[in-house]
Amino acid sequence: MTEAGPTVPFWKDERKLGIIFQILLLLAVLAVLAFLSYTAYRGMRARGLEFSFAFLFEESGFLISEGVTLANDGGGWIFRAFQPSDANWQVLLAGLINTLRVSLTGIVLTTILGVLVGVGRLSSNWLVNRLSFAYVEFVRNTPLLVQMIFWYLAVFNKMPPLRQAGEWYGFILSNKGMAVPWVATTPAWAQFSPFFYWGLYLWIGLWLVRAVWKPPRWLYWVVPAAAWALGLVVAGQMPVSLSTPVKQGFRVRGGALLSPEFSSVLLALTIYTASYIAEIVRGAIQSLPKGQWEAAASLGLSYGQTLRLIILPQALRIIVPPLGNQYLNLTKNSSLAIAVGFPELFNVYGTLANQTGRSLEGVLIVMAVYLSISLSISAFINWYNTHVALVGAAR
Amino acid sequence: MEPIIRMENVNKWFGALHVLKDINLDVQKGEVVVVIGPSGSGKSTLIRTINRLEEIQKGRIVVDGIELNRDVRNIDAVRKEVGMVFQSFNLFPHMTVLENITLAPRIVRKWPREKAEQIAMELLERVDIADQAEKYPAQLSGGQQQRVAIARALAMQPKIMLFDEPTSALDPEMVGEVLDAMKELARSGMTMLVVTHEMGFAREVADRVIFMDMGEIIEEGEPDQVFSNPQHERTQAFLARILH
Amino acid sequence: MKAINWARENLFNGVFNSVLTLVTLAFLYVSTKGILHWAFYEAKWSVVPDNMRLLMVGPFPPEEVWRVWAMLVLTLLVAGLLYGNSTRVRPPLWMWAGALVLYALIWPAVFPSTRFWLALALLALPAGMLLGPLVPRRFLTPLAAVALILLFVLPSAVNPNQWGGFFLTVLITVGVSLMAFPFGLLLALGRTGKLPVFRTLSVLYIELIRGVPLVTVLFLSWIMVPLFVPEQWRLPDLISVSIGFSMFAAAYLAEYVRGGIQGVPKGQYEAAWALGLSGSQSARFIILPQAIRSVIPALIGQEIAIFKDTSLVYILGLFDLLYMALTVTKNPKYLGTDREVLLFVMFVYFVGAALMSYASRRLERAMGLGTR
Ligand SMILES: Nc1ncnc2c1ncn2[C@@H]1O[C@H](COP(=O)(O)OP(=O)(O)OP(=O)(O)O)[C@@H](O)[C@H]1O
Ligand SMILES: [Mg+2]
Repeated sequence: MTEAGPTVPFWKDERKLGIIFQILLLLAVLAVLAFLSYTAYRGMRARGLEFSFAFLFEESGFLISEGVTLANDGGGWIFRAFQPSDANWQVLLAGLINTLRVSLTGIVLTTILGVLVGVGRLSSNWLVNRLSFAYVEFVRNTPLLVQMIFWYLAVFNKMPPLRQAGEWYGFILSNKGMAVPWVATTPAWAQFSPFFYWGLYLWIGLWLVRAVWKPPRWLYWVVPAAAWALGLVVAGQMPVSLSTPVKQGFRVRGGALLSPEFSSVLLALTIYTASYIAEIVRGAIQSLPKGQWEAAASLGLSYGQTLRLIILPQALRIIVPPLGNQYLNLTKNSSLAIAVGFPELFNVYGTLANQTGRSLEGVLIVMAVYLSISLSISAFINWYNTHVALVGAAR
Repeated sequence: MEPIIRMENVNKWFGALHVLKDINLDVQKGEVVVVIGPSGSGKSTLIRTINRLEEIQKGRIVVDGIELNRDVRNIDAVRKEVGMVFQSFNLFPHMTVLENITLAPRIVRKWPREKAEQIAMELLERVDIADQAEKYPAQLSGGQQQRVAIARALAMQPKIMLFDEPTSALDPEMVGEVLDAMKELARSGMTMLVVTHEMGFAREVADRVIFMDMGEIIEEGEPDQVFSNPQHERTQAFLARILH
Repeated sequence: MKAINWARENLFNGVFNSVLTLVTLAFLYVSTKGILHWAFYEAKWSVVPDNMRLLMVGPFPPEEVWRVWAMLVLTLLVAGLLYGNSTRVRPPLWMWAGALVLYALIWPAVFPSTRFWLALALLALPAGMLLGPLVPRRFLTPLAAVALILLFVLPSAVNPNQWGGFFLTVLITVGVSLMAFPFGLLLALGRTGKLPVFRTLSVLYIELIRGVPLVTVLFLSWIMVPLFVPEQWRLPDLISVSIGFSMFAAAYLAEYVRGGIQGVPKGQYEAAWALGLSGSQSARFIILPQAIRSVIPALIGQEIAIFKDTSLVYILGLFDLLYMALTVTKNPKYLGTDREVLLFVMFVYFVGAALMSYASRRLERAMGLGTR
């Protein structure tokens, strides 16, 4: 030890100063938090409210336009459409499922569009290049919320009624929303489904036992494939078929009908996020050394082959972490759907807060849910960084 | 006479690595001490403990009568008295040469701008680059940058100057101009502690040469004696390597 | 000839590119045909000029609108003065010409009373640049201070609940940025510093905020802030929402600044300490200036994000540009003009954001000097 000696008073001791500052900081933060909680408590009491989560188990009593929730139908817990007689936690769950539904679909679509536009930005074709550039510039420089409302009010609401709606290759666009082809089950599904689920369970089981016994790679493919093949043989018929929507009077038969709200949110999120993904893809491709292109060209690979075999696999390592961030943004941005009335988590919360007056408790729950989604995605990015990106870079 | 720097049984660890081992060193006012030794021997660490860029774990250091302990007043006082020149210049890239030099006098010594600028110009004159005052560091050559760094340290009117390999990052043709500035400084009576491999400089101006290896002072003495007639075999081996 | 050669090189080099060009052209034709027809023959664009005042200032009392104009003129004039004084450039010719053309274009669309202010606003920037070099340097700081005070005083005569339109959008953008900046710096310093408690608190705050959507933070502050203040002084929603917005923006800002701080070499700290500067002095004079300079493009990007995100206050019922636009479409006289009005809103945001990113690119180039 340096002889600090008794002559150094604690408020002049370098190390103790740091400690004192931090204790004071901590106390200040705690004091602010305590003060805020106290005043909030007082404020709520003055308005006749009490902080409590008991409302979650009360009957909700209102309807949402679309949404599936977990419910007990007497025989057990199943997923079914939400009903006003369900409890408040069930309506929140329905909202969360809607959030996940629109986010996951959006993530798939925006990735495809983003990669296309990002590659288009580098295309030697002048038209494609300029078009991609204009797309990125325009979409990035206008607010997502305005775009979303535009899709809803200025596009879907102005669609012709179903009777006059246009049809393109099985897509029907009307003011009822977007009807798209979808897989539907046939009567043979009843016989096939046990095999389908068992195949899935076995596959998950293989992943779970990895800690104790590492199965050979081919097993991951063979096990579910065998189960499903067996199912097909037993059913003797295709258990699913592609169903295309057709107009029938005032209704659409077959396919899947996406509501105008869902469609606007999905389109807005997809198109907006794709402009960011395009820039990530472009940046990653450009960051690869020119030598890679030249080496590939000298091997006689075409532009497309080079892109597919050499550039994209390498760019992927750079792309994944920021891409994960964009997925996260897309999920968080789905909360803007409140402006067009799609009943995702935040919108459902808004209705619930109106009905029960539990705005504070509700927003805390909603924030906690979003936070858990974010943390899971960040955990995945971190895992990817340590296990895939770095390992690949070291090669 | 009371030495201006006194180090007693100084010990320093980086984690488990014992970098300074029981260093005892007295430097008299006006003395020029050159520290040599192989890479990783702890030369930089040694001189960086003197202005407390590195904290020591054991022993004591007294600079100009000020005990260098954890008292922030003492640390501040010592840093005002000790100037330092780094291997990589460390000029502030977002300030002009003049701003680089006047910054510390103005905010630490609280001099008015006119006084600080006047003294800065005198110092620039002294290191021979008065015409570069309004330029940014990136616009200067390495040798010019290092002379600005010397002027910057001198602007605080320190009693002691520390140099950590001031010429190692320079192109050979620029080494001379920096060494000249240092020689001039040594002749003016400044107390200097210099880590360098410039043996010519050491022979010419050093009062004492210290050879360090593995965190210990192995040998010290007048330049002629250490260079021509090293006592310790590790010194001999090192000099044999460096002089060829 | 030249055109054909150009097309051959850029559009039809190779089979793949030729097909791509044709497909793209077909797609463009199909998609723009309807849009262009609508834009030129069906759209009722008059809804925009007819409601320009509502869109620009919302429910701001018409007889007080001169305050907004005065703020605009003042800001542009002072900006011009400061710029002209610092770099001694004459306003380029295109600026005068542009002002003239713009004036001629907008002339028919505005009321006679506004024509005067419009002329002033368009001339303020070049005039400021012209006068800039004439103002002695020591007058600049007091001048800017007076302007700043005026900027606060001018709108305060009108109840904040009546602020609205694009004016409110800009006010929120500026206010949120100003509030978020110091807080963001503090968080960045905490996160990069060596004090464990400070660091942990900063990390917790930043990650917590970045993990939730902005609209939930806005809602939380909208609900909570009124609870904290006594019943008798009702805060305008504008204030509580802006506080939440700033707390949100600070977390993102902190991350950008952190990137900058981590890019400052260790030698810079050591040089500062060796010269006797204290921790806060080296942060203020050495570290932060360099850190911020290196992340200015990212900070402007963040500024653009704040600007775009102000549209979210619409959800909370503040009368921003988007809110006013949707109000206009509910007016029976203008029913069914959602496309026109929303496209105008997008256009305004686009111009604002594009201007900022243009400025960012200019700055980046201008800052070549003094960076490493
Ligand atoms: N901040 C640090 N953390 C951990 N170890 C360090 C640190 N700084 C220096 N060291 C180690 O301490 C030892 C002495 O380092 P020092 O820089 O003092 O050597 P040196 O004699 O100046 O060498 P050189 O001639 O290469 O500059 C080295 O082994 C070095 O790796
Ligand atoms: Mg060294």
